[in-house]
Amino acid sequence: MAELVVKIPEDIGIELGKISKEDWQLLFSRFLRRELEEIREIESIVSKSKLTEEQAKELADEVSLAIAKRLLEIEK
Amino acid sequence: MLLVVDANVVFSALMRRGKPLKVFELNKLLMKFEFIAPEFLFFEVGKRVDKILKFTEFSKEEFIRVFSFIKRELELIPLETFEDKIEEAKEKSPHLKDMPYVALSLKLDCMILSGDKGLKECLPDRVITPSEAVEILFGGTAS
Repeated sequence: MAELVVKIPEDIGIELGKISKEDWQLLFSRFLRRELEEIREIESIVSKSKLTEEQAKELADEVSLAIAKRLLEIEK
Repeated sequence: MLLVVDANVVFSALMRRGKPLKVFELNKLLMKFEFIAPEFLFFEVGKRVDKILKFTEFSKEEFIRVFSFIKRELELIPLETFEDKIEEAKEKSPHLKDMPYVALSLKLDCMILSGDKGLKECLPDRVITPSEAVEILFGGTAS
């Protein structure tokens, strides 16, 4: 297993009390695993996307123009 | 680093093998950027769900999952906050559609994250592309 040294900011250390080195390791690996699982899930959904560059641009331009018009309304 | 995100980045993040999604994913872990966007961005995206589902071929649940992920990474800024920059933004923007992002970036003196080639060409010093953002996230500097 790869080893990584993590410096815990003092205020967090105080808040979480006297957590042992082993528990910090567990806490950090659980946190990282959860984050990576979510990223993997999102990647897996997006990998099936059929959206093309032209379609993305079409949608983006529509949305941006709608926001610009709202902003101009406020200015009036 | 504060960055204004435009709709181009949001929609490109829904594309297969797109760099913009990488930016959101990496930043979720590294937290180097604070992403902001004009208010109503998600409201306007939400009005086009049927079209997005048709183009992406996502199920509604899949779209909600990805969209919520992106949404959590962005803070929306009320339009009133930067309305005083409209005139200056109109002059500097290549198109009217770019004006809200330019106005917000002028107001908060920050850059825009966009993959829009026209906007990058027109405002090279104010726009960073998703590829440049990935580079920064990995420890480099924007060229």
